[in-house]
Amino acid sequence: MNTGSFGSKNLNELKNYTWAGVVSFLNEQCKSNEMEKTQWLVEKKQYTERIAQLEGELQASEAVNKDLVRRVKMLEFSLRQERIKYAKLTGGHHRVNSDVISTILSRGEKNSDSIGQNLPKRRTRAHRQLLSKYLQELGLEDIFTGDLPPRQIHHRPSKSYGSNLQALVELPAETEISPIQKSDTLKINLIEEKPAKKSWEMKIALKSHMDVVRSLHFAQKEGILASASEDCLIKLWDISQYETFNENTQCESYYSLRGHKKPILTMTGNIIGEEQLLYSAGEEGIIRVWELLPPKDVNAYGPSPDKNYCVGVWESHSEAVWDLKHHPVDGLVLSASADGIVKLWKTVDTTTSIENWKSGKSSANLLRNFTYPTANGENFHIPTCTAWLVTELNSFVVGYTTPYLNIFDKQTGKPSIIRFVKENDIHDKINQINCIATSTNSNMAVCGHEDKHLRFFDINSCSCVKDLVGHTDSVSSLWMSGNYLVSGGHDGSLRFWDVRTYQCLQEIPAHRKKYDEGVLFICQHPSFNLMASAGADSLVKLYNII
Amino acid sequence: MQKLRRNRPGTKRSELWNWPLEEYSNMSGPFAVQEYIQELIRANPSDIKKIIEPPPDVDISVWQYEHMRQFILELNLLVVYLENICTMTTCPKMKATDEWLYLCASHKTPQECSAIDYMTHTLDHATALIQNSKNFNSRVSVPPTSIKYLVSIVRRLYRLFTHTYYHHREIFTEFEKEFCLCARFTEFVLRFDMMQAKLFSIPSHALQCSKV
Repeated sequence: MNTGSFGSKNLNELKNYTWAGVVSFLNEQCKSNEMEKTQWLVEKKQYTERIAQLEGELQASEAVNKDLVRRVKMLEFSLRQERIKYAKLTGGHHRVNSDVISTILSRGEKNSDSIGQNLPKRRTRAHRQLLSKYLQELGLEDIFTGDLPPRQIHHRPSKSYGSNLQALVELPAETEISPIQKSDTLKINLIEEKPAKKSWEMKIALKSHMDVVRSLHFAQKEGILASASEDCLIKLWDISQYETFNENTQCESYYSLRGHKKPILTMTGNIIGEEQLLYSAGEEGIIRVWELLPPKDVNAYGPSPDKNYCVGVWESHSEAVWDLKHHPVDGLVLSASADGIVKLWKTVDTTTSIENWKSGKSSANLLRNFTYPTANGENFHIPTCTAWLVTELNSFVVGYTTPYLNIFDKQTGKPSIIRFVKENDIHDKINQINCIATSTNSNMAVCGHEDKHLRFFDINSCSCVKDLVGHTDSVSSLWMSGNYLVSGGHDGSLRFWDVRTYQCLQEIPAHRKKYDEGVLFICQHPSFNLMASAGADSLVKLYNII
Repeated sequence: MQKLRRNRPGTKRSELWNWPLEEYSNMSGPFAVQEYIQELIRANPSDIKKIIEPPPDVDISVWQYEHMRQFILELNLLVVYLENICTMTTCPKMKATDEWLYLCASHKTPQECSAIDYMTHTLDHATALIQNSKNFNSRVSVPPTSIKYLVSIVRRLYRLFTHTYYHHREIFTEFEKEFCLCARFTEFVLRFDMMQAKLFSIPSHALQCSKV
């Protein structure tokens, strides 16, 4: 009976297993297996990514460690020096002294050797302790806890011109190192380096120009970028929301300034001050002054304004104007033209209101002409670019098609000439200076040349201190910020340099070529972590530090 | 060796773009089409047949696209020439002949704009349209399906000429003498059949620019 009931039950169960049921069950199993498999694969991918990320982080922290060890060695060296001094001062007997010194030296060498051997590896905890010990001895134990606090930023008149690339930290002078040498001070210049992995990356390409973009200007207060192009237009961009931009963002220019009838070659703007003005010029030789209006005040698709945004037309140059530069502090603008003259113009300052100034004649704004001093009056030295010396606000540098550099005093007009190539090459345009950048914290100017070179000049001694090949084609634009320099070339790339070591830190391919031109302009935002480049491919590109 | 095609800082006006005209087949850069078109225009703006006729091995869509960019570029100059001549007071409405009043289509709902506003709005709108990454992602290859967007703006851009012709004849003549832009535009639209023939309201004798 048992068997019978069992058998019938079995039979009942078997009845449930129809072919269709079995097949669908197997199908389901198969499907769920597949799904699990894909889930696993996804997880696996996530884990590999995580591993790669962690490895990257590890590498970065190793680089930081390496750097810290280097600093330890530096501090250690100075400590040894101090100990030697101390021993010399306190010890009466010469023999004892030398003994003390030799023991200290040998101990120090042993230490530094051991550091040197283990330097690249991951066992840095021990070094960290050693480091903190040394720092304690120096009374500086807090400088490496957390981020380096900028105790005292280099203060210069040009601070507002400032930079976020640069952070030269100077330790306070009252740091005591020895009970005896109270009057002595220790100054260590620590350079706050960006963590190794940080670099500039492209954020967005701004498309609106129809031809080569020649110049850019960031307005100080509002998040506005102005771009000037050979299509005779100046476009204004609202970049205040740049952090939210990604490659799919359609950032349209919010206004076009129309007025030039020929290609615009250069543009500048005031860096500080209430009134935001733009100055543009080009093939026509006419300088136009524009009111720079924020997005809230203009509407590209609204009725035309009852006033003209072009507030000044300065006609004085007889040839194309190639460079305009606004003074970093005062209301002054320089213009360099192919007619051989650099002109100094007066703009709005504290003594004149903008309304009065607008009504003035263009001749009233022209202060002075500067020409290359030649004996026979024949002027074949054509200025190509200018730059104000940020460290000597009364002077500016002018570069020429002939390979000379001139430093003018804006009040006296007195020039001092820097020559750096042989006399017989002066008519060869291959040597010409295309662009100049001046340093904000030392008396230095950097020139970008048609012959692909970057040349660094010491203004005090009027001499070339470094000459290196900067790009694979002519250097067309430069931007300097503290100890960092950005150069753009007709090879279409941007390069980032450390001017203390003359090392190239990074290279980005930026713009494609139209004719034989690539990158035409670079500039950095005065306060945002933002860089912009303009190119022959009609594009403006924005970069930030990733 | 080929002369370096570059405008170095310090170049005098007469020396700008001063390099020999190159055949399209010898050009290799990514923007060869634009370079070629601009060189033809600089060489002789009145030789419109040569400027419009595509060279044998060119991508026809890119050819049309680059021409459209050039038209917008130069039409922006026409607006500069009309500055202080065509204003809200002289032309409060966008008209060619008195027959039609054109509404400005650059807004969500088309609206009556003054003539000068119509022109700037149309140009800014057309610029945004042909720079839009969705339809014109690359200047090296333009999908033929995107050409319809060019066709859509041709009619409105033509009205910039008609308004100038019927209301500011001296400017039209002066501008046409220098750029031959209307003649070139007409030739282009006819060549690629982008507009109905009856819409060309500027008589052809007005387009006989100083042919050399």
